[in-house]
Amino acid sequence: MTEPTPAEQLEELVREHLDAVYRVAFSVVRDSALAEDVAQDAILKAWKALPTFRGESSLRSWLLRITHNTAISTLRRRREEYRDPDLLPEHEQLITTEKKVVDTMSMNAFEEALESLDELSRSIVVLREVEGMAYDEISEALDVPLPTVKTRLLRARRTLAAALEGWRP
Amino acid sequence: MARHPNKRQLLQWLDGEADELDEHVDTCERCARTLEGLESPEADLRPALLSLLAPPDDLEQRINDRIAARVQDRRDMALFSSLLGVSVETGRVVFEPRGRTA
Repeated sequence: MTEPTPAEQLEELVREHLDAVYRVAFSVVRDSALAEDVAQDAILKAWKALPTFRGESSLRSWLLRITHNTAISTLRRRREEYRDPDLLPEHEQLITTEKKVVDTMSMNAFEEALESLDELSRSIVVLREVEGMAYDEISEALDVPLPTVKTRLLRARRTLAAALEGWRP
Repeated sequence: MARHPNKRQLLQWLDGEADELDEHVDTCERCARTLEGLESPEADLRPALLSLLAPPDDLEQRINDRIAARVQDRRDMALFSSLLGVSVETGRVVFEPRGRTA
């Protein structure tokens, strides 16, 4: 059996993992356009780094770690940009990414509850509840201690479960 | 924190209060176990999260198109740089818009 070409590897990353990558990105940045940018960057970074991937964790854990880190750095950069008056759009007030989302979406209780969590907790809850990853896998993917995963997840679940009553898909 | 927080304090932390306990709770196995005993919500969050974080229908196509364009850009940049006799990084500094990253 022949090794996949780089182009085939890229296709497979997109085909197999894009949805999970997007969900983690969106949970952190809370803006769909920005999440798409993060997803693209994370997949390209992973693709370029594939030759150095040593298989010590699963490919998915590794890719989602890259995604989480890319999302966090993108969010930080975006916040810095909004602090720089030179980068503000003309005739617009200072608005954060989060505020834009609030303004353009009808936020319900569940969304607000998710929004109220810190970025790390949002990633943890998505990796556990949606992607079904084990605690130790999440700990490794996000490079945080195991108790952090467990306790942040408990608090996030409590917050989200309380809001679920008001959530309608 | 040398001492472990009591159950009342841990419950406050679960409710999003007592943020001063973050550092301890984040690294303490014992408190993690205590919290697991205090809290076991049954709610299935997956459907709500899946709905809320659902990717757009055409995401895969869009990402494939964007990646293809980006790879083509790199090829063009490499060709242009080689014609000018400068490095690809130099070409990128000169031609790429501010804030765009590799």
